[in-house]
Amino acid sequence: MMTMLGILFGSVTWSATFRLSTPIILTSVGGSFNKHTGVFCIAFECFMLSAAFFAAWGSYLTGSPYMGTLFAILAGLLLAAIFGMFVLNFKANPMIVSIAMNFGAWAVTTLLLTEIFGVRGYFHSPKIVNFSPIDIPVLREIPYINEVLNNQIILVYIAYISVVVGTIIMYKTPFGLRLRTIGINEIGAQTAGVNILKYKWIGLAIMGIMSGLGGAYLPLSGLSMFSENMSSGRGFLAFAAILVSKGNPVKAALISILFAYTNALTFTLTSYGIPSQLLQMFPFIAVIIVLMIGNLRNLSLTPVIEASE
Amino acid sequence: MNSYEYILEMRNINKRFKNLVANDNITFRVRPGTVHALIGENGAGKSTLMNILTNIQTPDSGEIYIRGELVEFKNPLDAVRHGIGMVYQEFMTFQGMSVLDNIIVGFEQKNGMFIDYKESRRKVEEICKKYNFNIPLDALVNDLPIATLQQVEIIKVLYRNADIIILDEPTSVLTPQGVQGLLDAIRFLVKQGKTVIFITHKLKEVLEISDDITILKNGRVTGVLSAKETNELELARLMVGREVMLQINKPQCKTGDVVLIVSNLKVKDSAGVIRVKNASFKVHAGEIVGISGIAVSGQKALVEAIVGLSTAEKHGEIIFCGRNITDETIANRRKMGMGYIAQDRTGIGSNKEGTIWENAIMGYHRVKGFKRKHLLDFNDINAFTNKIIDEYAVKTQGIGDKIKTLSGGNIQKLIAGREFLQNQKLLIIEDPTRGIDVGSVEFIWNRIIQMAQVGVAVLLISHDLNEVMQLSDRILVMYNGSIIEHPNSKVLTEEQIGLMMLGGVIDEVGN
Repeated sequence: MMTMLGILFGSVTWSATFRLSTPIILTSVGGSFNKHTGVFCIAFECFMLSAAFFAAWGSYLTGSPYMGTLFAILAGLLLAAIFGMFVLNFKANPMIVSIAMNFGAWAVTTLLLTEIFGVRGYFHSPKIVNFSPIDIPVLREIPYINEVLNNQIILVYIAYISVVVGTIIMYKTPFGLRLRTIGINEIGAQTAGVNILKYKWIGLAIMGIMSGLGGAYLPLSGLSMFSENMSSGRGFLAFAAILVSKGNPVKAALISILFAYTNALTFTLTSYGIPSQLLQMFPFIAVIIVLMIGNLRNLSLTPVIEASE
Repeated sequence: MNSYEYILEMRNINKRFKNLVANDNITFRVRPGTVHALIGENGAGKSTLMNILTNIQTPDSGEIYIRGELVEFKNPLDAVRHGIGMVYQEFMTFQGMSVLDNIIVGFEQKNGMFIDYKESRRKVEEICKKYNFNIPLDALVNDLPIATLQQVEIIKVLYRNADIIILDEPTSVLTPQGVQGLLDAIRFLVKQGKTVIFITHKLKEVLEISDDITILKNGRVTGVLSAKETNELELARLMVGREVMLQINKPQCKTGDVVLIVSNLKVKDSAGVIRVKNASFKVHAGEIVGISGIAVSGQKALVEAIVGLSTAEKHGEIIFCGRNITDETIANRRKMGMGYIAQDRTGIGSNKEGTIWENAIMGYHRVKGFKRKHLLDFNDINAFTNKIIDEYAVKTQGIGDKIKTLSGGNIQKLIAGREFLQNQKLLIIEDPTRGIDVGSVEFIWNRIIQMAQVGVAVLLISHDLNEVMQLSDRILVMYNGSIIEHPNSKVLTEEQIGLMMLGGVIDEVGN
């Protein structure tokens, strides 16, 4: 019994949760801005995976995780721009563009892995320099909190700061107010003098930058490695967090933490002999449950037919 | 006194959408400090004209003068800066946001990079006080009743410093008390020096509130009047007066048994708004019953309930050939002999990506002889399709072509043939001749009369008053969801029917 409580509430699990939530939070906070402009996007796998690759490559080339992160942000920004060009300028179906980009990113990063590093599957090298953990003296004295919050890498703290800053921008500034009106009533926003296209592009840019940061976490958090399909579903988890939270950064972060927590549990529970394949399902079962609960009030047993006037 | 006669002058505005002329050389002048009513049916061009004024759309040609000066708008914001504010029929509210956010968005008071909510609130409260509005600024707009939302929209345009306030069909969403409140608010606005453009099709309100009236019909100005010097009948004639394109000889009908009884029918649309209120009427065999009414009076909901596309509320009844079909499936209604020609030719009436033969058997593929065990019987299908093409003079290249390659008139003739050649007992025909050539109109009219002659009951719902008057043995008027039946509708003149369509009352002898 004690061990079970230890697993559920122990500092090991929660430290891992804090850490693992980082890429999902970063991506979902960025995606929230895009969500509010009414642009549908599920290409987060593409953004994160490509950013992860460029983060690894940048760090490998320069020996600096900060340069690697800059590479990742630029990659995220560029891909968001490509997405925007197709969806906003060419009016392409955003679903199809997203799917194409997700699979495309997998293929391209795998190809680059072979072309640049000459390996298959994964590339591990001490030359991919990780972020070092930051020791915060204030936290050192507080027993449980110290183990959970202290000695994480900078991206983890950035993620949680981004939730606060994102919330303030979203709900306390004219920019945020105008951005939010677009997704609710585009024509209404237009009559209020909002330049819709401009705001959509800004939303996409924020999404690209934040997904880039989220992707950069993956190779630079201590692994010194890039592997094929490294994002492995985290983009979709971020997408689910955005949908369920309806683009509220705080709620999106909470849902990301839930996903990360189930993920963290899998690490601790494997050592108790529970099959890892079963445990790896946890985050995705959590997604399904969260989506179901989030949409329960829309439950309707009769089909809705919308005829045109 | 002002140095200009008109605060707003739109000169020779032209706007066309593909084949449709929405605004045909419209000139519209508004005196400052007045209520100017812009009236006309849906589709008469009012909305287009106002969209041009607010720069949501740009005109093909024409000029706009404000306070005597020629202006050129580059975007909707320019129109706002010139003091034009519009309260849209579909409110431009943002669900899930507070009233205050709804009002200030786009024109927030700022404090550095943040919204200065204190100052914004002070400004909005000042306006509310000045114009006698009492609105909970922190409530979410989702929770507010429609009349309050409308006030929010009016405060919004006042907050943006509008001098010319356009109200688009503002009373269509209000209760009678709400309407009085709105009219009072409008009078107050004018007293404070604002100019109001009031768009509506309700004549009583027009005469009550407005100073000047401009009437549009089919994209043209049909009259500019002073409210003091006109009356409902004249307005009705200018608004819905028919254009007689062709005359048709209709023999007297021989009425048979009752085929359709609709009693106390009440229908809500998908948004929960009541569209049909306690409608009751009968249709006999061999009779053409016409339902006229201005657009969006509930005709669509009525037809959908009878055909089975939507479900009527519990207490009403639809009895077809002696059987209650209120909860019957569409397939069963059709099997019992109900034919339907939909207003939406290519959306509901046919599958525009389908071939001609597919469309010719659509809806009858399992009822009639088109089926040989589990496979389609192509001999039968081809024979039937060719029969339609011959008897209904459908001009086509081949029956394997997609139906969208045909002209509107030919598609309509094909659909008419499909529905008319099935031994129906009842035909529900909705706007059968909208947007088709005169030749096809005459052809379809004659076929409808022929069907009635052989004893089919016909319910004809049309927005074209001339069509209803030419074809019907009995005319019902639909106004605001209710069916109004005049005991002797054939003696009514078009003005009188027009007045009934706009909510007027005509007594038995026609006064």
